[in-house]
Amino acid sequence: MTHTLHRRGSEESLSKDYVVLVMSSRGFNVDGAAPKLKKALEIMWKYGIVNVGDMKQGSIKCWGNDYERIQANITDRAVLQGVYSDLDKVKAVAQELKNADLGLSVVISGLFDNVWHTIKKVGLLPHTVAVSMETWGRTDLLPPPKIMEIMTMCGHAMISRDLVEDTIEKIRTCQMSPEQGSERLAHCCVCGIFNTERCAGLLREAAGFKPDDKPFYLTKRG
Amino acid sequence: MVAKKTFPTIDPDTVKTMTIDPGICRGCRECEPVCTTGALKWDEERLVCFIDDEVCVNCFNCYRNAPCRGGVAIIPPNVDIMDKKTRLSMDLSNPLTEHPLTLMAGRGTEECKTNEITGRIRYGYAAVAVELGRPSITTDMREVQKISTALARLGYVTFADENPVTGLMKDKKTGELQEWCLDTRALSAIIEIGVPEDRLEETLTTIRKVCDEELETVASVSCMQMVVQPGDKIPAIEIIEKLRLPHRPNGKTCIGLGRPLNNPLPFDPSYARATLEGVN
Repeated sequence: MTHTLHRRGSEESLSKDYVVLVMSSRGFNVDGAAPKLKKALEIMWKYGIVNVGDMKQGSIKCWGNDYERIQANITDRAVLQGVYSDLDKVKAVAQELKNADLGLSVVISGLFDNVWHTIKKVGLLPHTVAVSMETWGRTDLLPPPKIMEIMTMCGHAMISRDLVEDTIEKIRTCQMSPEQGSERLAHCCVCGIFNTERCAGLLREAAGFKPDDKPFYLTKRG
Repeated sequence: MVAKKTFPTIDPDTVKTMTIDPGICRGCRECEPVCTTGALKWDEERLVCFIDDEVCVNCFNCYRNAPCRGGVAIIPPNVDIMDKKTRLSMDLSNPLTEHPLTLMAGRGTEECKTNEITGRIRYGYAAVAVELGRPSITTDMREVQKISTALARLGYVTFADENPVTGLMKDKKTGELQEWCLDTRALSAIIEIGVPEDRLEETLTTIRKVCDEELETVASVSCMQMVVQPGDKIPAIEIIEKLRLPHRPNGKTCIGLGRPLNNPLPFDPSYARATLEGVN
């Protein structure tokens, strides 16, 4: 599955969006992987993660899930994934995962230049890459780019265009804050790679507000 | 205000496709924007929401996230009685369903994610993933077959084992899918292939041609390759640029921490030292 690939947006926006995925490999190191995956989640959690989840259990934003519950129910075949807004945090996670020597596969999705520079600082090199070649075919059917930036943060397409547009409208009419809107959308992304911090900024912009317009949602505008 | 009529509730055990129970639905319509395909619709006459089976892909997003005000009105299909088209649609669309072929949740294989362990993509080769329907447009299997048959005709393409689309093929030599599944719609479906690097240009050109001339949906395309050291080279990028095809500055990087390594081609530590020199 290429669900952490094909995230859209400007380089400036993507410079605050990095997904870290940790998993075992079927037929090679699945058996007995659960304790190692638990350790990996512990490391990921330590460094100010924006969102996190397990492909088998859902994210911390779903159904009252939380870190403790996900941690307690990790199995050998868990696929852990979390998203960070800060490269320094990614560096710290990569360093500690390297030191922990868990033998699990780790994939970091984000701007190649930034990710590679960061992992090299901790003595690692890119092993294999997946390059997005964007979308081909009937691209006339796609939503506008600003909507796509938000939607593509859930690679499984669980965040609908209608929900994004409805959320933007609710923010524009001061029925919810961008942060609340972002959390509303994050409920739908089951795997935990939806970056709520980045999304809040995108929603604010899409609703026509500036970053210093707060707490605008408490006062209805004409 | 028009009073809502009352309807008998539905027995969940008898439900074969995603359904809204009109006996529970209070007509708040909060579920409508949640639907990934626009299948949740409003019945003006009955004043309840309903799910259009022709549009629904059984992704379960409404079941998980619709904020029904009158109780949980959305009833998921009973897997024991659903037909195989609905099952396929659900397997490909609901990211929490573990596919019987891959034993993974999601729509594809481990692809490059565990490549340092599996050696699935080796030096001199590239993997290409064509995800039909993504993002959010959906696809039926007939669209998928347009790409899979064109790729099979090239003669050298290897379809990834354990991939759900490969599992639907009548014959990997032709890329044709089984008849029963052709009209089944899903949020997306991924064709994953391996090709020798010196055939990548022709492969990408073929995919592009089918996408431009025949496809009625969209396809998110990606290329995977091992990074050649020293110098962080990705030969596929040169081919992509030569063909003037788009590629994004962001993507996935497997950072090589997995074990056991069964890739027979050496990762020379001296290359690593040379590349890391001068990095702070």
